[in-house]
Amino acid sequence: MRAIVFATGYAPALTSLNERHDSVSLPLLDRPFLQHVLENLVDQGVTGFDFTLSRKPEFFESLFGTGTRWGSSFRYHLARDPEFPYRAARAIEVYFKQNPDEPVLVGHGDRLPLLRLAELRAGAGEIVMWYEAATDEAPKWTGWALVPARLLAEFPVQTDETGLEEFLRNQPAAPQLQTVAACLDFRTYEGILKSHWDAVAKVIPNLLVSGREVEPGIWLSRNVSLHPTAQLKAPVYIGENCRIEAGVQLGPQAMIGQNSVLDTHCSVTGSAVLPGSFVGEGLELNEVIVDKNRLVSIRFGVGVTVADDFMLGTLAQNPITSWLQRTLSQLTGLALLLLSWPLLLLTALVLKIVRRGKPVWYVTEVVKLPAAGPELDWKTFKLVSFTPDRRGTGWFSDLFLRLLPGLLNIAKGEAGFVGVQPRTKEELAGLPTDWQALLRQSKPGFITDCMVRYGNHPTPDEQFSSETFYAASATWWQDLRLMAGFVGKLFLPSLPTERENERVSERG
Amino acid sequence: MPLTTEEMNGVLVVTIHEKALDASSVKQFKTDMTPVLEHAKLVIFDLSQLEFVDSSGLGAILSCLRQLTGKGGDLKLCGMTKPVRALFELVRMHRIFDILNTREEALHTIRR
Amino acid sequence: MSTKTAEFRLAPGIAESTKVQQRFLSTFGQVALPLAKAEDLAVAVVFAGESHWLTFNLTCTCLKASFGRIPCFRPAGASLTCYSMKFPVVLEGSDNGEVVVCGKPGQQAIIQAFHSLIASASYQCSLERNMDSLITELTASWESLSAVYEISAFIQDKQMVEQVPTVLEHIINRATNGGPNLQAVLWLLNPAGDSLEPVAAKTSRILKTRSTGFGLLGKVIGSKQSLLLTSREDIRGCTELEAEFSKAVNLAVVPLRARKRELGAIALWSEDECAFFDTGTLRFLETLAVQSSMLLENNRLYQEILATERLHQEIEIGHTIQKTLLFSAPPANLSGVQVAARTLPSQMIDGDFYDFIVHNETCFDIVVGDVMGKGIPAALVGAATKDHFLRAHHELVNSSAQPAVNGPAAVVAEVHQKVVPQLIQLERFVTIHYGQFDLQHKRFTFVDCGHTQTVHFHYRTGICDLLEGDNLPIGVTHTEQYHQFEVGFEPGDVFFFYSDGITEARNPEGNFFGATRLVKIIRESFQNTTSGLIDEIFKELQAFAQNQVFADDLTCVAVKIGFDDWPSLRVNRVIELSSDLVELARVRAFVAELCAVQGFKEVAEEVEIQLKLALVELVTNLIKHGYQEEPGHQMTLEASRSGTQVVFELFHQGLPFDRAEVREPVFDGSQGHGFGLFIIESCLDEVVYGSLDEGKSFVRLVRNLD
Repeated sequence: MRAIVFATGYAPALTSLNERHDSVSLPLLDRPFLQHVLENLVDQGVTGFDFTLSRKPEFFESLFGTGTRWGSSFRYHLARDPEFPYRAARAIEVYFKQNPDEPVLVGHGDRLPLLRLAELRAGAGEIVMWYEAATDEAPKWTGWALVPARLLAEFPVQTDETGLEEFLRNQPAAPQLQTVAACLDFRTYEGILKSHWDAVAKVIPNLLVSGREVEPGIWLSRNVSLHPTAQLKAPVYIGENCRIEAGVQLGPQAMIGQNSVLDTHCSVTGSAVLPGSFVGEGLELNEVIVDKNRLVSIRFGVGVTVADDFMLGTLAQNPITSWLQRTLSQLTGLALLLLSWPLLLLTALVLKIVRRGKPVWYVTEVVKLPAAGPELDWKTFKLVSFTPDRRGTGWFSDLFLRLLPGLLNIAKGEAGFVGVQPRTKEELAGLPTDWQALLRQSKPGFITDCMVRYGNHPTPDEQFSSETFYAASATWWQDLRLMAGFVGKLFLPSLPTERENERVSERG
Repeated sequence: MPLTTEEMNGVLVVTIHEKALDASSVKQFKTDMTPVLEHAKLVIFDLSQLEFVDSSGLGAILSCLRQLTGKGGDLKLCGMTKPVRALFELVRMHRIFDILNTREEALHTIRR
Repeated sequence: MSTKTAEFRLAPGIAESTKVQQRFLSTFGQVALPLAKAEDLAVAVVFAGESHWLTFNLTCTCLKASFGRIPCFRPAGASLTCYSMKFPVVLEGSDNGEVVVCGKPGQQAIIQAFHSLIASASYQCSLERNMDSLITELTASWESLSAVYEISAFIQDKQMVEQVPTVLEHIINRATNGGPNLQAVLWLLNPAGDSLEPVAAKTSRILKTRSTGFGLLGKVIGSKQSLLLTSREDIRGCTELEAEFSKAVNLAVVPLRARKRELGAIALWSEDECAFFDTGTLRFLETLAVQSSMLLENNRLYQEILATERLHQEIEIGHTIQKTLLFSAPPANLSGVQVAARTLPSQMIDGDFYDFIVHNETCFDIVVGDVMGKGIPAALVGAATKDHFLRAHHELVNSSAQPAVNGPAAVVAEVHQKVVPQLIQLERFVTIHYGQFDLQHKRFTFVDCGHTQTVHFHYRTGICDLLEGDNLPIGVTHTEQYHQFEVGFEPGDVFFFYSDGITEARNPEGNFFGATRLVKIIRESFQNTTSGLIDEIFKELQAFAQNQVFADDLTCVAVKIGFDDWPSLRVNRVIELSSDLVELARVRAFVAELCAVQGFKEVAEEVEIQLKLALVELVTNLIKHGYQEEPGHQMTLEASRSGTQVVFELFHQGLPFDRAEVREPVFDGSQGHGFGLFIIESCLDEVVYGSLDEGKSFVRLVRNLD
């Protein structure tokens, strides 16, 4: 039997989460949801798949390939509009010309009902529709049906899922209605959470889970570092490479996606933490979904996105320390400027000769941080540099081309030694709102967490994670550590950055 | 530009026998397409021999789509090679065009 | 766990086994029991679905499963804990059955040897079957029967191995017990088969070793027929009569044979006129002969089994030495080099060895050596020499004030001092190639002591050098000055070290594989990984020799200097373009060529597509807007590529470009243009527009490959 899976990832109820992920590519126990759907159906004897994709077709095509890995054959189709994907069914019908009465499984990739195809008894040409029983309302269609192939050609084009249900219900031969015992649903936040609990409770049999069930209801994956004082209450799932710090309380019902870090004394109950997230010290998460720095609360049945920094840390800085730190940085900047002005002039002179006619100074208007209020109220200052690049250019050129002239700014107190990359108004306004909100509370500097950690060519993801991390958790000792890191690189260039470290460990 | 056209049940299938549709060949493409589009309403472009399309080629295909939809017709694309699809997905044109795997799929879905 | 015997000999409730079966059980038991006990094997004989346990070993899991009844047979290798084999027993008709032997996985050789034990026991049974008819014939002659039983009982009481002469004595005694003044001698052929030696005798005559094919004994052994002479005249009438028989009145001579092989002869004679020999006497003697030959044959088989086991053990020890002492794992964590080492063991043990000493991230030593000779002694010398290299290295490091890296000559000289006296005493010598890679200065320094020439493949030129020094093998002379040589290398170069087993492998016509063929393979497959290269060489070698097994061990080490970890290394390409849109095809070809440059990590297909798109868009933009489509202008496109980055720089004299003037693209299909810049910027990590003097401008595009 072949299955036609509409997996356009359209899920308006997921609001901001849907900006970054399709519903079908959101992870359930560290694997994209669609992969679970696929594997469940292969298990039940489905031999071929037609996927209709829309938003990230190349992602699934490269992930799934031609299907030989599953002993199956896959075809991919593109839907122009993710909300109305059924036009593709008409194209697929061409493959069933030989056998128009062949039963075909049609369904939506963002739901996985417990189908039990082996026990199904359906007459030739009969339509079967699976419904999920609901306690207080009429049964809901799971989005899955068995139809004779010839019907594909008549699928309505300009309708959404309700339209398709209506179309199937109103066929001359009334469809056989089946009730399923369970259905994982990835279209809503509540559904995502519930799917996680159902998955570890093995409501759907044979779901492939990367972890190992070490005790009933406790799943641990490879390379998890778990502090001995952490408490786990089943059901708990912890993905690969997670770090669980001291005193963390997990569960009941805590799903931690791979590469996440849970800082000391935080607690997670009834919540899912998506891969690559950081949960700050002492934070209590209850009935929420966390995706990187986004937090969605489910408690009131409504998804709310919180773009605050508290996800990443709760370190409200003492105003006195902060003032001291600024003054100290300013004084040091002044002192260094007094000491090094001959070097500054010499560098300028050398550049004048070497660059031959091209400008030596670059002055950029960058936003003064912290910046509050609307964009119009943002204040700017003039950043002096020997290079137009503001990110990081290499350890020594950083020192001479950016930091040396930047001492002027530091002495004036406009920027610090360590901080986030200075940005112009346009650049700052162009950033995603959550990133921007965090940056606006930080301070600009010449040595950034990002360059010490990832070198001179960070990917946007790396830059995002390091900047938000820095903005939320910067302390004076962390500044010192970054500065030490920078000086270390200067004189011991062989010290690897974090990324190179990872590469080395991969090779090993 | 070498083009072949086949009439199939009132649908015109245009096969582009060229490896690249870029700024150097797009002018010829447009001139060659003008008479073809004059009489046809339902058109399928078979792009299976095309290994490279740049933004000007894309623009030319877009203008074909606009011409046809303007007079109530339809244009479908099929048989895209990987590099061509990469461009279409990069500039999100798969949200504008109906892109089908094979000529059969395209013939089957085109509106009559 | 000890082997249990008695209580399992017959499973309870078994029907009486037939006479033939019982006989097989008893004769086979005589042979197999001592061996099975000594080796802790479980042995069962199964007739008509009933098992008769000779020995039963409860550690064996498959026996536990069968609870002593029918052995649960598993084919070899089916279980990790047991190794069992099943042998057919051919007696006659319904009496056929099988023997199951079960032991630990290491005992294959012994278990297989049961095949011959069973064959011998069945042979014995068939002999005894013949004897049966004989016994009916000799009902009157209680003598032979009682002798047979007596001897059998005697054998059973003895540990067979050392007691063969005693049993033979006993047989001769038994022969002479038959009457007064009887004399008997048992001669056995020596291993070469050219003379007969008396091994047991009861006679007043002086016995001599005599040659075969001569005299009465020779005649009997040659004709394989028993001989009975009952009158002095007949005996005297024989030509070449042995001196021992000269006074005999009655004489019987019977050959000893086992499995178509002559073992010797037994003679019984009487010098007393009253004695009378008849066919009964002859049969009696034949019975004794059969007993003796069986005893001898069984003993021989037993010795053979012990010998195979010893040989097997020796090979095992040799391979263990090789695996643990002679070869070290190649270093895996060196930056910028790939090292692989492999050895294909021959049937005999060789003294090949190799070792690696890593000084620091950029410097490591490699030593490959070969001890003259074969077998465990050579392997031990190899292991000792290899050990000395490591020790010499440590001693040199500890003794010098500064922790400097010592040159190969110093290390080899140190080893020389330590090992040469012993080597000369042992009359052995070792060929060595000791090399040091200095990645920082890209230098390879080596000392060659009569080893095979190391192959050095130059990536840049595609040429192979054969590196050779001028020292004698270690252990030839007491005084030797070691000279080190130095060659430079570059990224992509390959070094190949090997033992002479590789170049001296022969094809069926007897030609050597030779260095020329080796160099050819290296030049053809240098792009492989080192491990892949060695695979390739071994494959070619086996094809050449048309054999899977070689006379010598094939040992080799391949070292490849990589590109990827040389951040400074870049490949540069330049192309001149004219301001004509026709050039776009050349731009694409140029990008494809750059992506295909060998030696770096492969560029993903998507990245190549994106680079082509971006470059075509950029050049199109320049020709259209920068030059207003005016032909005849020149542009230069320079590209450079490293392991992590591709950089394009396009130099032109067209109108400079203002990024701020470009509007953002619209993706709703309403506009067919304006995508160019969007494509360029989304396909690349860095785009810089700049101007130079005299109206020249450039665009710099950077794409990171991580």
